[in-house]
Amino acid sequence: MARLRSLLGTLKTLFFRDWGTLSSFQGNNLFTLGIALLFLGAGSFLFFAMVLMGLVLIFPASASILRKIPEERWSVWPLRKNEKLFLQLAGIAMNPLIWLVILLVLWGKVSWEILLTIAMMPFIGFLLTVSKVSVCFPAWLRLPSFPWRLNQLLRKNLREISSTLDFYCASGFALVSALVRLNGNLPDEALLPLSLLIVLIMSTYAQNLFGLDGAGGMVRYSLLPVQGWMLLVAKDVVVLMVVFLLTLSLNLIAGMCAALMMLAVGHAASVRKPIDQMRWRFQSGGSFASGILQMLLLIFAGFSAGHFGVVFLVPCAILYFLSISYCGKLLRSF
Amino acid sequence: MNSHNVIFCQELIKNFGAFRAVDQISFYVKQGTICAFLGPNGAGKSTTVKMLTGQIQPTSGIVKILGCDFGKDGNSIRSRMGVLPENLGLFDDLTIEEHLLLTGDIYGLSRSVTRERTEELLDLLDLSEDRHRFARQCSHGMRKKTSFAMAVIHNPPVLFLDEPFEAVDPVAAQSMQSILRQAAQRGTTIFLTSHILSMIQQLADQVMMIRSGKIVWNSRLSEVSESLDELFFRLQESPKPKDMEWLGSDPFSER
Repeated sequence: MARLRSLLGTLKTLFFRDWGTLSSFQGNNLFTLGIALLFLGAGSFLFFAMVLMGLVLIFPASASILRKIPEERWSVWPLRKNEKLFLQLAGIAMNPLIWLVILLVLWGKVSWEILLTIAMMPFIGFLLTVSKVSVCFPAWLRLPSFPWRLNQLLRKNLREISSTLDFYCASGFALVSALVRLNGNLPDEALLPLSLLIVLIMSTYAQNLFGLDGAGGMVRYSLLPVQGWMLLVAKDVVVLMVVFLLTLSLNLIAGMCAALMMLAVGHAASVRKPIDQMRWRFQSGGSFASGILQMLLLIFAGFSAGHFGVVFLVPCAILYFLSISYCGKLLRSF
Repeated sequence: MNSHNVIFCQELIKNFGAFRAVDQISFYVKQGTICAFLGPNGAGKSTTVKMLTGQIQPTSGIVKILGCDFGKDGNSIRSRMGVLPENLGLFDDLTIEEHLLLTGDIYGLSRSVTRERTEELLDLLDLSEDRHRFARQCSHGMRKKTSFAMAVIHNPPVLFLDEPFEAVDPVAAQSMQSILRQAAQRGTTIFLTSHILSMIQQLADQVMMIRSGKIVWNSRLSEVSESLDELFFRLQESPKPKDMEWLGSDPFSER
């Protein structure tokens, strides 16, 4: 019993530590915008944004907490079968989605289809733990090649960006917007704000371009005979590709202008103050001030592009190149 | 400084706050030499390698690699050295093979030469079957072999290897040893750290030992009159062995 108590204590620590990492969205620009809109009285948008953010956020947390115990350790611990079963059940009980289902059942106003969908998530998490199947993405191996000597870095950066929740949140918005537009229900005036919203969701990632490279990656960058600006371009190309695809069905020019501005501001934070990020979490911002500046400038660039058209790409590109030249040098000086 | 001194440093100091990790060390390594840099954990080996490879800046002192210094010719030095860093310097999101292709592309090798050398290195280091594994899915030994292959694939004139043999299986370690010996015979200068003294005894031409940030021995291996083990234990302060009586006694009697 003593060792079960000790293990449950460890699981509790792991659970709260894991839950703590979910708060990464606190410095996230989408979160900041949501709070701002709440004060401005645009509550319906806040509700929509928070529901989407909540769903994207909660899915990775739905895996059983037992996955936090290294497999090698789990297999050599002198635990009896019934003790292992007890811990697996405790893992399910610790899942926040189970609590949510219980609360919703008690509330009694949610349809059984929604309850079933939510309840499926921890169940899948439980199966993954028991079957020891690790989640992997074979499609990541078959990414296209790029005609550049930093080809492999681009492929790596593409894998990195697609392991952030910001990417999936932005993709969710883009997909819903595209579908609504396809049905003819999206007014033209909504295209520009929606494009900006998608760029805004991606903007926190642009403040932490090196956040997922880890200590090993940063050491490798310091050893490569490559100019700093090239390393930044290898990051930016991927972000611009994503923004291009996501805003293609909306207002592409406004999206690209806003993205160039978002990167121009984000470089300094990425280089000066890189913060380690976690996969399958929302990205944390470098600083609140830089996040606000980034949001204001990208919104300004987007609306200006809406007013002046494609020609506004020129000043955005100039600012972008100035930023990359300055921050590229900074990157090499650290 | 002699023109054949590929690695040269003088009065090198590195402080971390109040702690002095490297304390006024000076040495040189001639072309085609395999120099082993030995010492216990925390003696300053990796810090020295980091300063020599431009990963960190010295607090004071001079470092010259191939006659150049990082302040003026950083990229020129980087393009002519191969490094196996302490934390291996791998990207979680690249496979073993992609790491080698990346290195070939960045150091300007043609696609065909990169492919050819990648195949050769993967075969020799027994990584062929795992070539499509992401670095984060690899064992420590596989990651180390990948980092080693990245250090040598572009045939640099100078190699810095931080504990290349640790965690590597004996067969692969032997292959790595033979690659290094052949490279040194053709003029490559190699600076490596290791705790496996038997391997260093077979491989090195020059031996340096560091203790508490100071160099306490620097000579050619042929000038060492005792075995490397004996020299190491003589120069390093080791704690006296203590009998932990509880270890090996009846494990159930004390619960």
